Amino acid sequence: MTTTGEESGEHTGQKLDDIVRDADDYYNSLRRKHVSDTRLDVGVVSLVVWFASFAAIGLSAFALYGREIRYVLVSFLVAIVIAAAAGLATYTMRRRRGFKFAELGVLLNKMKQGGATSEDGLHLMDAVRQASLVAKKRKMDSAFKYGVVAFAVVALIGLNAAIGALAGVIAYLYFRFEALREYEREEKRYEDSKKDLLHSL
Amino acid sequence: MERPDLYVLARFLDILYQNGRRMKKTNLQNRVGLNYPRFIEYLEWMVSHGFVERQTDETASDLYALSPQGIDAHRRLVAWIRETMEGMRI
Repeated sequence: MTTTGEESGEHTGQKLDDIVRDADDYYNSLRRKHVSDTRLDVGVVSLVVWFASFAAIGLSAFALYGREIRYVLVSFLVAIVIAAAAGLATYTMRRRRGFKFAELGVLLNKMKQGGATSEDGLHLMDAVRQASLVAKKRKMDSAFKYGVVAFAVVALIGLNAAIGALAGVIAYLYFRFEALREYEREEKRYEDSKKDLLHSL
Repeated sequence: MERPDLYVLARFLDILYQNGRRMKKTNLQNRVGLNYPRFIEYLEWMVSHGFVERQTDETASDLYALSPQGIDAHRRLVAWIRETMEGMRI
């Protein structure tokens, strides 16, 4: 290889190292985001389940056995146990979903140990794409959350559950549509750029 | 071959690029890991597109090396991977 070729080789090798470093940063940010999202989800689910259980058990006890303060205490404790179980179940489900990033981590470790090749780079790109698809799936889940929030806010302000439900459905459909459109746009951009590359080679 | 697999092309380019010297067909096939008919199909495609140069040594056996166009294709492939990955961020 000539000097220019060697320079070009060093440049290409540097770029491959940069790709690995960027992907590693991305992987770490995904992991951090996954941990913080998991904490938030566990907190929200536990709180909602605790409140619902407390209200349901407390009111049922009052209705069945009369108004006694010890039923409030028992309902409070039982609701805590149910909320803890719900939080644990949410945590387990979220952890299982987090394993979808594991392939990216394994590939990155392999590439960090040995010299990276462009074929490894293509595999890494596919793994990053899979990871970003999981993140997009979460945006769809967020659409449902926005729908629920819209329902609660409109129902409380308007004091009308039907209008609240309508607002919730509209908010859900809008955010879902936006998430799907973004996903499709990205897919098209990726396929087009792949075709362009093959044509240009 | 209508549409070659990008992974296989990348493997060919990587091996010839990292080796830096001319390679015998058998050696190249072993490193690429394709069956012989498929390997020949890809090799001919790469020669016809000017990525690989066919040369002959003193014993009249064929040797293959990456052409300047092949080196450029490798560089462009790596640049494309980097650009595409940057566009994938969320």
